[in-house]
Amino acid sequence: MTTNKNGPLTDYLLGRLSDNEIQEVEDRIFADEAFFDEVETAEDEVIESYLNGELTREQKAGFEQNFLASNRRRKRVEIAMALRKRFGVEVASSRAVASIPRRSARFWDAIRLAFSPRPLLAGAAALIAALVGWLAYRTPIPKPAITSARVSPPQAKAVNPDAPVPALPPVTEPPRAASIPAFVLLPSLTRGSAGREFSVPAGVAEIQLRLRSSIDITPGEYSVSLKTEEDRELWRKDMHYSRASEVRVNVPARLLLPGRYSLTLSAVSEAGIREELQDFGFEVKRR
Amino acid sequence: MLSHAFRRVVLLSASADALHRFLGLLDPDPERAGAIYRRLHLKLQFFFEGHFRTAHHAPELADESIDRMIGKLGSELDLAPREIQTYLLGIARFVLKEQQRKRRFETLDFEPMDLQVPIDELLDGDLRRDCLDRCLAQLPAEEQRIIVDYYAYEKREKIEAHRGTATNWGHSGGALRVKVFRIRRSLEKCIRKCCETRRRPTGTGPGEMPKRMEA
Repeated sequence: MTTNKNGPLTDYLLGRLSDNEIQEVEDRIFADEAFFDEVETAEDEVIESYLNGELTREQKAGFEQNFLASNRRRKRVEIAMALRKRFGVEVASSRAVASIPRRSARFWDAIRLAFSPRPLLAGAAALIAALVGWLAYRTPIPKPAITSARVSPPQAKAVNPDAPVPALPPVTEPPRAASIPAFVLLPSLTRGSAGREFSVPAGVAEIQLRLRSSIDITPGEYSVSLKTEEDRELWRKDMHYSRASEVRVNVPARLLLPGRYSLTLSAVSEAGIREELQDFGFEVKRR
Repeated sequence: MLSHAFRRVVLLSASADALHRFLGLLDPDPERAGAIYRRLHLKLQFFFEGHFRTAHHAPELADESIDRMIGKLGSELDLAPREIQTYLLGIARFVLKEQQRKRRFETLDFEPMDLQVPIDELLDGDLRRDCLDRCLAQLPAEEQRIIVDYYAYEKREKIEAHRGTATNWGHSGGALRVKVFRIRRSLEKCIRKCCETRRRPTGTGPGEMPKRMEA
């Protein structure tokens, strides 16, 4: 039997059920062996649907925030991705990172401090802490810059088995720092030319590259490919672009070791054929 | 985690009889008891994975739940085999509530750095590739063929191929998919074991039978 990817088991796995519904599923898991078999199958189906790009936006958010919170499930997805790579099946783009809003820890520290027993200075400490906490709570933590390109997963298709498998997003909360470091790239005059230079700051997970193309980028399907100086593809992202302005892509910082790279912007036709539009060369200096 | 593992060893040492009794309750045959134990552990992991605050520590909390149950068996708790799962679920719910209370003020201080590991670094890439090849080679020929066929086609062609393949192997389309998932799960176990064995030759992972009890 196949699990309906819009059914209650899928919702359970993606963390989208109410507390009562969750409890019902849990009761059945422990009471009904056949039902647990169904839940295990549903887990396989959900992984498959995610890698095929078949989940809705809300489901995908649920997958990345809830399903991937478990190391056991992340390893399952990793192995499923490795199998696809082994047999030359592309993984749908999964670059949208779900960010979990995070209130200021200082607010909660202040609350705890205010209520913990302290001799002599309890009242004064609590008052000061509450005031600090109130001020901290009022100050919002800036969210990281979000790419303006909306990611639309492409259809799965057979590709070169040596093509890099895009990494799944880490389960993380946005960093306290203001935004993802961003660099503007200009088109290379010739392929392989060095272009702009920059250093990747330590401790960042992503770098935003803003492609200031000299040609009109009209709304449609595009692909951005990161290649080494030896023309080896390290990473690719397919995207649907809806605005006529610069293209912005978030590249995993761990891929950008010191060296020369190029980012190739391609238009993707309805038939899935890529037409290279422009190259953007750059050089990463030592951190 | 180290203190958890140490506490677990101490607990097991102190209540070895209770553990034996627990396994005996699951099944008189030690092999089957081990299989049931692992399935129970997996159910408990699913349980804790269904709640965001405990998902990341699901294996350890599953161990904790089973340990508490074994501890209670040591104090003369008498359960019929069919009652074990219900009782275990009750313990798991209690453990969950404890975790939720404990984490209420911890969550916002919780540094999620250990969750920031990209998924393709949980298993070392080269090791994984090598183990994948080994495990694929160990599959029976029929299962190898099913896996190869499943992954070897483009999405649209895959749907047609499934129908064709399903006819060839005598399965309905849905049953073929389930079979592929089962094969993949056995591949996952093989790959995980291969990776762990080659990284850490001895030791007991979460959900596994304590080695001393397997003898």
